[in-house]
Amino acid sequence: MIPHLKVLDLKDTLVQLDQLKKEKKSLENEKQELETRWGHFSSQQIEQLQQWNLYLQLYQCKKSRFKSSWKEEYAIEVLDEGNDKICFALIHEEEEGPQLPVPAIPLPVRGPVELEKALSDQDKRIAVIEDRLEEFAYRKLGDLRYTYAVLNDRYELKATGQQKHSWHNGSMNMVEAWIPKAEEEETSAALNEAGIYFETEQPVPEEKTPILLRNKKVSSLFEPIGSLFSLPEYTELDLTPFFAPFFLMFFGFCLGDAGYGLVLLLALLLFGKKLGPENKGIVRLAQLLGLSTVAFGILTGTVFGVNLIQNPPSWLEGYNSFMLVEDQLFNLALAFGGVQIIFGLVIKMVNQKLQYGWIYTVSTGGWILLIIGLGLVGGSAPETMIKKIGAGSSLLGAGLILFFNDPKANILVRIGKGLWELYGITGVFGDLLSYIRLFALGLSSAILGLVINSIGLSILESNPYLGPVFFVIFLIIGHGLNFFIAGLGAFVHPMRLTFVEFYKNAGFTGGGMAYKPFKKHYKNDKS
Amino acid sequence: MNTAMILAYTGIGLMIGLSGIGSAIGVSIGGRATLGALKKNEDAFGSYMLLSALPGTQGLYGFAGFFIVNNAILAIIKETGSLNAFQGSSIFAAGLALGLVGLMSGIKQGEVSAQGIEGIGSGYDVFGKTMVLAVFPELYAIVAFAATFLISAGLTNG
Repeated sequence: MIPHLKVLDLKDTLVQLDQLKKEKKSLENEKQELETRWGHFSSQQIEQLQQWNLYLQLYQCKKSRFKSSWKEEYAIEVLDEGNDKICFALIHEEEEGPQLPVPAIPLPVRGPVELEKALSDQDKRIAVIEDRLEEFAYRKLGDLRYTYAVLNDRYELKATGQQKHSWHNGSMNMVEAWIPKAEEEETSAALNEAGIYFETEQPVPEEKTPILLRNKKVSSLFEPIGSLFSLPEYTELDLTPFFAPFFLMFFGFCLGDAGYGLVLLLALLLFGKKLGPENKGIVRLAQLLGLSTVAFGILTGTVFGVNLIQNPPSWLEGYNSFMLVEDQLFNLALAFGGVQIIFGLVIKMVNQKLQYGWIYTVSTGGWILLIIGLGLVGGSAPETMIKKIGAGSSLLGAGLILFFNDPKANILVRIGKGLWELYGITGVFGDLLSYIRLFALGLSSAILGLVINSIGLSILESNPYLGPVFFVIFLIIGHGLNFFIAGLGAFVHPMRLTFVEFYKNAGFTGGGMAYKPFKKHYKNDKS
Repeated sequence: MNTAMILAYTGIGLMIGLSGIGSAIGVSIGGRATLGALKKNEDAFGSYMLLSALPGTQGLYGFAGFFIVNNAILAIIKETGSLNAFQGSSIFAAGLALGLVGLMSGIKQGEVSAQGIEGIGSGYDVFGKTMVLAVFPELYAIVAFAATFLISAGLTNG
């Protein structure tokens, strides 16, 4: 039994390990060099030959100096031939062999076979040390974590100390810091108790105030998604709860397969706990996404690529009759887009009302009327009441945009700016069309699932015995890949719709800095 | 075999071929950038891999488009015996559109991903932003795929 590694021996052990690894490297090099020149042999074999009065001489020389007549005069075996180099062995029966005009190379003490043995010994030595190190790390994990936390604390204390202002040789120090409003009382009490003089101030708009998001349980699960883009500015509304339901639906729309959703749900139910408490939020989020996928899979009638709208036996024949449903999905995607864009504009109105006053919201309201009006005009039959209402609404909206886009400017400037703003209608169409991706992603993942199934079925029919085995293997691999790619798309594309289309229409600028409180780490570290 | 058939299947060839090439080049660009970034930061391999995989979808759109169009052709032939000039040329157009857009957007998407991978490797926290930016070029492949779907739906319904 080897004694446990002690902290004091750690440095020496590491040096030793390094040395062993270097030796191993040079052994490997030596072996490789011998093998390329002379081939795989052992020095024992050479000794054996000598006992039978067979002697070896190894030569390496330039090709130009090698005479091919030697091959006839002596027993020569060419072992390696390069571009200009040649390696060969000369075999003779007397101890003093013939002398060639090129210098012989001394026989290697260890051949590749011996070196292999040495290498495996070296590996064993390295493994012993690595085992000891691992055991040490395991034994000292708590200590390492503790040391890390303490060093981290010391570093942060020092970094904070750098920001203080000092007077009178450090007898008076001043530090500025942010605290969330909810913690004001607690902090004041603690500071009073410590006998520290302090003043509190509200942040002014020009200051870059750190952001601490406060969301209800469910919408807080979506905070990691929002933070992939940017935190809101301090004066801005946090949009996490507003994009969360859309994101959930969009993910389901894009993946849109009840089977995949169920697999995701089941996998997380079974193995979610193993990911540890720090990933609990992500697991919950993924479960919600799985649920949404199941819901949309049922809506579109897709389970593992099988289309349920038609009778399962006949789906092999043709699936043209589900086109109607696909058309509806196309319209549904656009409708989702319209709803989210208008919802974004409503949020923008609320923000404008909060920041500047209601008069600034009129122009945004005009946009909402214009978009709804154009939608009604485009979507209704000619000469109907709805069409007239739509036309009226769009005209009113355009008028509001023309006259209220900048409530402070004079009327002519407003009309000029308004015309330019109305040009932005092309952007709205662009945004709306961008939602087609929901439909196309859902369709392509469903079709690829279908393809996998039909290839799988032809494998099944190909052979009565091996067919079923490969059928199952192919389905698992195929659906696994489709799930991965479709899942990636279903995550990324709704993210883009959120950050580009929704945030733009909601007037979100972002760029906030996260609130990272100054605190002791090792106190919280109980593991 | 008539001209319409030749046109239609040439279109299908372009559809699968060009979009597949686009994805293949795109993911290779991402893969190369990943290997470079691994030298600087090996911990972020998960992010690199996800970003490298993004341009893989164009080829799949091409393939899914082929599946839709091929079935439309088979349905038409079952009904009428052969394609007419209108049907052949619309399938050719769909294939050309999806193929070209898939080719270029796959390559360009790979370049965007590669820049993001390089950034993450150098220690910048740009994973989310790269994801969003890299799907910008993909939209047009998606639109082309949707157009292919609409074209083939029009052929079988009309």
